[in-house]
Amino acid sequence: MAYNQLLDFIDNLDTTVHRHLVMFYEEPEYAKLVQMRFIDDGLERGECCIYVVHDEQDLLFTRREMIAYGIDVDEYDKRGLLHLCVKKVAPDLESFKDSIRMIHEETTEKFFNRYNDHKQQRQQQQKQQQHPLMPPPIRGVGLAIPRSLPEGGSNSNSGPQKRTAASTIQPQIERFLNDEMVGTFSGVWLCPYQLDDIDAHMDKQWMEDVLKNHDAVLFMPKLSNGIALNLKDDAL
Amino acid sequence: MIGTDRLGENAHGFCIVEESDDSKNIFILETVSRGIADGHAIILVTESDPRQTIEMLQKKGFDAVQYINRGVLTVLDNASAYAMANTQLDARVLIKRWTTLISEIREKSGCQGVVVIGTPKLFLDTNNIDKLIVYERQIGRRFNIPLEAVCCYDAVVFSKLGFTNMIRFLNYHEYTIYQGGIYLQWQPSMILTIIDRAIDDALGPGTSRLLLKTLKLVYNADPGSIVSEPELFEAMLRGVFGKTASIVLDKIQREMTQELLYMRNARKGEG
Repeated sequence: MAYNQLLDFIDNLDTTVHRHLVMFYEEPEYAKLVQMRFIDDGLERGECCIYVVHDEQDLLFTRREMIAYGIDVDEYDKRGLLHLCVKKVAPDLESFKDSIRMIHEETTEKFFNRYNDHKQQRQQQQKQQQHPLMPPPIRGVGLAIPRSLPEGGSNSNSGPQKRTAASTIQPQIERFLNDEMVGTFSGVWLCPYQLDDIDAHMDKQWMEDVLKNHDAVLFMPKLSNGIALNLKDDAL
Repeated sequence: MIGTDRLGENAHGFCIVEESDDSKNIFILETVSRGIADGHAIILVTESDPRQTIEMLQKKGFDAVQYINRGVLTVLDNASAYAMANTQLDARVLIKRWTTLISEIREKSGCQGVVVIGTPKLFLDTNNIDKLIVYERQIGRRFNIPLEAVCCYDAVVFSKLGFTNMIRFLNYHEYTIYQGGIYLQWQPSMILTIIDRAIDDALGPGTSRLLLKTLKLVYNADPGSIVSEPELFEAMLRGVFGKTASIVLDKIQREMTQELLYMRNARKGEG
């Protein structure tokens, strides 16, 4: 079997270095598979995993996919380590920031409430007036922005107005994720973008903006395992 | 591509041979006999005992002894050609030494043009790659005297020189030489084509273009700089791929060596 550099990158991800990843894919099935692997790796490391889905239907589908992949969804859910959230499209940047913070607070709370061992430890530490127990690192997949892409991406099922809004909010959101969220919360976030032809988008300004606001990029063109590239400034 | 059936184009060329087959002997025989047929004197530096090379040429039907006696063919071993104790493999000293020797051979043989066939083995055996790089660069790509300088590299050694050094060596030579006296002048676009193919072979179709475009978008790296600044490209590859860069670089180096093999066409024919 040929060497798969992308999966090697995912499996050996150093979340102290790569905390904000972007994935460009052409085939949804393969993208889902890689996302499942990304989540599964996080769960095995004991991280708190969040998967943002588009709607209720997508939630059921993703849950089935996770089970098919071999992830014990019920068990991880019980332990407060796996959260499937339905995306709420944020009308502006502030609403988006609020919704992200809310997801983080909710998942942290769920983690402490459901994971009894941690709950007891937390209570014990609070009694002893020690530093509160920190939640595990967060590992997330999903976009909290409209599905349409700037400059008419392949999934643009909305009108021009929505596309304009998306193109305005998207770079701000990515910058926020890069500068604030990843800086504040311990963990890693993967932003997946579906494109009909990745290569054709490589000359566009929005692509440059997106790349410059992530620590690494996963390119997954058709008929290829794909590549993962480090985008950190220290790459040179 | 420049096709020609004779040597002596006042240029610095190189070729890659494999130890595993007879390509080194074929290269020596073809280059020596072609040079002599064109009226040039030959200086042949051998890695082994010169007597073995002379014997090999004789066995292959080339009357080396007769040409040696006439002063047209000079066969030297590495030690006497580069005189390490005296030259310390210093490029300036070596070039001076060669200039003197070439003048002597021209006078002795009565030939105007001289073909020098050298080998970098002594530099490599003594761990003097840096001196070899300086030497190759200072020789220059073209000469203003009727001289053809051909460096003969072993394929295994060449493929392990590292990406940056391989591109440098290509840049320092005007031609690569293939069986049958085929000369190929390397263009940056040809190197890029090999790199492109090697990356796609290693990581999947279409990945090379994505890599190069990302380097352009994020680091403003122009694909042309791969050839002009190979060390920068190698550093970028190591940066974006991390520990897996060596797999990609290794593939590029192997592909490049295959393309440069003296008997490349014969091998393709076998395939």
